[in-house]
Amino acid sequence: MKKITKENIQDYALKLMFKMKEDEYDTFEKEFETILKHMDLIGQIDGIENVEPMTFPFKKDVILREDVVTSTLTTEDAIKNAKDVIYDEVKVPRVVGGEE
Amino acid sequence: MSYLDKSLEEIHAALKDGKVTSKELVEESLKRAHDYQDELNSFVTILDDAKEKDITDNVLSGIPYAAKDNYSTKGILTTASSNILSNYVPVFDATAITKLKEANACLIGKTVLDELAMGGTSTTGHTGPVKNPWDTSRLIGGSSGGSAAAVAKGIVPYALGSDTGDSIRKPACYGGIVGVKPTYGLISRWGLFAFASSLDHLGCFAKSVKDAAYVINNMKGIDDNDMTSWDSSNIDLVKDIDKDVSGKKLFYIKEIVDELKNSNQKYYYNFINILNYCKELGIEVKEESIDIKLLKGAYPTYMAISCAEATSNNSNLTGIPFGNKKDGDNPYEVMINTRTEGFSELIRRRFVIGSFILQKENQEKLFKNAQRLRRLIVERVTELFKKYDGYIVPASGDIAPHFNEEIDRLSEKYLLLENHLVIGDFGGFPSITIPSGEIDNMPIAINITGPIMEDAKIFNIAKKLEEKIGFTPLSLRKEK
Repeated sequence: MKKITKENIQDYALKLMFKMKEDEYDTFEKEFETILKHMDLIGQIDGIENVEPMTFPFKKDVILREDVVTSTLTTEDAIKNAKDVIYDEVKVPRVVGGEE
Repeated sequence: MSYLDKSLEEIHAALKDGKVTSKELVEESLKRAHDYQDELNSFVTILDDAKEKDITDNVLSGIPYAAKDNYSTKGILTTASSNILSNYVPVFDATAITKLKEANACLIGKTVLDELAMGGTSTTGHTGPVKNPWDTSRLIGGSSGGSAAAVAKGIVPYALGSDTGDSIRKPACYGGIVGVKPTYGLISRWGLFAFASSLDHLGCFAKSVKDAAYVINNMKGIDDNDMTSWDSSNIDLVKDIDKDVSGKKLFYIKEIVDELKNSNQKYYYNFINILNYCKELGIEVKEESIDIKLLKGAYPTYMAISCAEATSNNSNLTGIPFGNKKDGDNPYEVMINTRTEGFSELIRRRFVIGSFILQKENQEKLFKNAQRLRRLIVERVTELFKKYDGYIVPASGDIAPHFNEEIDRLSEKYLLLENHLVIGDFGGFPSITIPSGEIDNMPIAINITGPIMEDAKIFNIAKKLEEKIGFTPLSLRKEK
């Protein structure tokens, strides 16, 4: 398995939209050694590659609700927790175009 | 003894007879929450404006309770003990909270957890660590530690938690109380902040098995908002709780009990004593073996699946529609700054591990093999359940650790004894922890886990064993 590097860590972090801080890499690299040893334990079962992956605790018929149009959130509620709001909409910095 | 310290049935009878009022119970509960906050740090928010409720025929009516701070509560700050949500006030209630409102239960506070429920110590919440009421130099376990401490100290008769690995059943062990997570989907997950959706369960802490049965009875039910919930209207956890258990069959897992014998003799003999109680009740107990490679792989499997699912579930925490937003020159910067500052280092590490596991080159060997190992464990246990009503195991390998105690995370003790409860989440099995005794004035516990949708049977066995054990919770030992 690929060894983890500082560059990898920052790459994985940025894919998840956050940064690791400079003083955090040492702890992470140490922790990662344990994680990799843990992960080795997963691969030690003979024939594991032939088992179907399990994504749900047990087999169950899924019953979907009727597709009825309903309103679950008012505009007032939707913007209640947003820090920046303008004209009943959530305000973000400009995404496209030139200078503001 | 104050009415607040009695069983839910006794409190209900006293409320009905007018010997105590809902207002008095709520006020006493709030007073205790404040009195013990400095000592334990159980609460993120104490609801000083909590009101009494009318008394109905529902046993929970008018009685105070607390909920873990990852249950969405309309109009009440809900932080998941994370800085990224330190200002978040939900606009809707979790289904379980709605159901308890309909039961006229009185919510008096929101309890501390490990940040985003990702942890087993209750030391990583943004408002500080939760302490164990039995010995404040020790941790209570997590992630539902605030709820466990609040019940163990007698602040509330019951409290809600969530369990993805063992986050109810382990702190229950460390706190000397009952902790239960029922079958996956018995309680709707709507409004519980998602950690790892295929493993997340709701449940509760209480001082007795019967109290817990009343609480789960009120939380359960099919819900249009959670397609994994199911119709349990034919299940009543209280009705048959006192039924004779003779003729029932349990097994214990040899590899786990052998490890306990090697590492903790006092705990081992306590467990053997519990097995003798089982026999006295007419329960047949046999030893069964599970491949040690499967058992040692359980915790790594949990880490792989839960970290991977968590990276996806928490991608909605951007700071833009809600949460503790940080500034930036463009939306990407806003999100990156918000998430870098909002998540603690530990959470970011877990997410990076999740990201690593999900990388194309690692998915097959790590993520999918973990899902495969999950299947092998669940299939083995399910096969055993064809011959048994459930299994019984020690709930941990030791008493609650001190805050600074380190444990070798590659040791057999850690992998086999301290993390086997996750099997209950892998298979969605109903699983209950009850106190079994003490070592060095600290509580220890057993766990009983059974086949899916056989929750009533597990409560029944636990209740009868609880009577035999005769353990007195900490909060009932001292005069308040």
